[in-house]
Amino acid sequence: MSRHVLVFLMLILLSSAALHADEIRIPENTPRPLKIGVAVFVNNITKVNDQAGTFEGSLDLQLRWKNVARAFNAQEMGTNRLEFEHDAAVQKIASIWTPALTLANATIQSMDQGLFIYDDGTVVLIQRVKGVFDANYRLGAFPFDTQNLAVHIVSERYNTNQITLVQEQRDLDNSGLRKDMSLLSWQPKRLKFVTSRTRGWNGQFFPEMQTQIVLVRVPTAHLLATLMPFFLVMLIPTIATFFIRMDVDKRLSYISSSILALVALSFTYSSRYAMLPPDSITTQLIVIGSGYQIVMILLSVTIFNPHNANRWFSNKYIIPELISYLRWAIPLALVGLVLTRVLLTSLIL
Amino acid sequence: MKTLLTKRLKVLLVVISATLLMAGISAYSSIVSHQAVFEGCKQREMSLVATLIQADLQEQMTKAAARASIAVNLPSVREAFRAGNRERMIDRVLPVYLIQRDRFGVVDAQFHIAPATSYLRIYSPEEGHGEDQSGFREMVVSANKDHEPRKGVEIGREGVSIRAIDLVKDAEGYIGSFEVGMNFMTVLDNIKKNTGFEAGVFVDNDMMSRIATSLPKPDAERIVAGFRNVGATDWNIIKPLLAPELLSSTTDIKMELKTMAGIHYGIVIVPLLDYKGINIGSIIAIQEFEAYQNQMNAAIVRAIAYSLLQALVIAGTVIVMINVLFVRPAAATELPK
Repeated sequence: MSRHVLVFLMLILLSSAALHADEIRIPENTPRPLKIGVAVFVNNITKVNDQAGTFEGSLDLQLRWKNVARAFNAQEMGTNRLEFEHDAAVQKIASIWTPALTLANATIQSMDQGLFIYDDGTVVLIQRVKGVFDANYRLGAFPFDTQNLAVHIVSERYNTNQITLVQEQRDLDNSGLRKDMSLLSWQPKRLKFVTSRTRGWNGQFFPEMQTQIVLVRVPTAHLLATLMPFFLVMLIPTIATFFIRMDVDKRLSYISSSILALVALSFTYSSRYAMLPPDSITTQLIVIGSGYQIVMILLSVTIFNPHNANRWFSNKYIIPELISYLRWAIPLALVGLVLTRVLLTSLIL
Repeated sequence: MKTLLTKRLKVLLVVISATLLMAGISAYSSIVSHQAVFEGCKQREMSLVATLIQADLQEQMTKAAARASIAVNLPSVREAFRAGNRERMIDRVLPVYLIQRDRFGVVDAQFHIAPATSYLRIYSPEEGHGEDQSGFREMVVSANKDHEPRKGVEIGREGVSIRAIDLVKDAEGYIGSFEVGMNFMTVLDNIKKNTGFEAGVFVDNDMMSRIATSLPKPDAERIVAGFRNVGATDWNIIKPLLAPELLSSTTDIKMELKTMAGIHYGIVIVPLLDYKGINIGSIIAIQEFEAYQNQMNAAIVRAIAYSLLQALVIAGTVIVMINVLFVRPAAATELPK
């Protein structure tokens, strides 16, 4: 029995020792915090899913640091750069210190690694990552929105006293979007970098860098899909009220059918653009449309109802004058209001 | 009937023209006042950046002076300097210099003897012993002549930097001077970190070519209008916005607004003065002002929309009232004739 316990304890000790052996310490003879140059090159974005709050793509993450212990004599080696790829890279990376940065918002589907070690001790680790990234879409300006899709590069092991994430000109030169990258309904613009720090569970601060892929939505298709049905729905009460002579009850039935159409349109917007915030352009259109319908009903039962109108106004000229004015003023006001809302939405950042 | 139509048309034309004119004036006035507010915001932001640049330059000079002061007051350094023992000076100062270089942006550390003869370059210990720098290092000449510490910007063999010189003295008196030079990138990184402006430093290329001989030849694209870019937070952003007129004739702080590819930029140009106050280049900071521009455009849309609504309601009411009270009754009375 005691032998079994001894073996068990030995196994625990060995596994603990193996864990500590895995941890390669940060290079001793380097300044603190050790500068890690970060470059990101976006090869492709295959899918932008604003409903699910994700995007899919492939990018090259290049990390650069200096470890003089890795320096070598270029003349002896016959090259100033040692290159490791595929399995050799994986083996080499496992044997040297790396900053152990992670992509905090990524579900990685595949990753290829490459490693360069230069004669002056500069180590360049390149990771080609393909994955799905969580993104925080800001859709207040839909369909004129510009999205900054972030890739969070964070250090979970080394704090801000140990490493710092920097971008020198060479890192900026190695960063960017592939020139011929194309994406349906979106226009890739540029890359932005924001450096920050996060607070760890132990109260220490850890460096973080956000790479933001700036995409501008192409609004035409969405605009047509939103505005065309809206104006078609508004056309029925407008014609029925202002341009056709008919009885009040018939006019009200036209307006009520248009109200039903507006309700249906509202459901269509909600299901098609479920991700939009409550103050989006589609909500604004439904609110404007509802207001317009209320105005139509009020006009139908007052001015356009000869029974009431003649009772309220003693002047016989006032009703024809009001009708001739409202005939062009109300539709013009509707178009103006919608146009203004659309323009103001396009100017939200 | 024809008379009625003519009168209605006249009323319509006069009232609509008058209300449109008033609405136009109202919209214009609103747009102009909004424009003034946004221009003021832009100018204030740029002015703040200019102040920060100048304050940061001063801060870097103070930091350089503090470092120089520590070095010159170390007894071991004084003794070694007095004894003329370069090896011991290197032993004492070089390890500290390497840390300062790698972590705190120090690029230059050098001992001089009067008038401005290089005694020991810590950043390159094997080179330059005995070089007379009095032809181009007036700051060193002045410090060693007047026996006074100096701070300022000057070009040296290793390029332009923010410098401070302190004197090495012992009980026997003056020995020489020690200089610390700070990298401009620290200032530029601070500007970007604190304000979001991309920044770059430009120095007279002729002076750089003549004095900073330790530096490699720069890329041709880094020379604009006779000024050499010696550091930038993001050269790719700064480069397309540079125009020769921005760099030349900079004698005072300039703030300009520039539009490129439909995007508005604010550009701040702070003249770079050497320690004597002579202009040797400039620090340029650039920021996109898209947010201001969008707000301005939104204000224009709102002003026009409200004015048109005003015109629609007022013109409509006036037209209806005039027609009801005057035009139609008049036409009705004229009709029997």
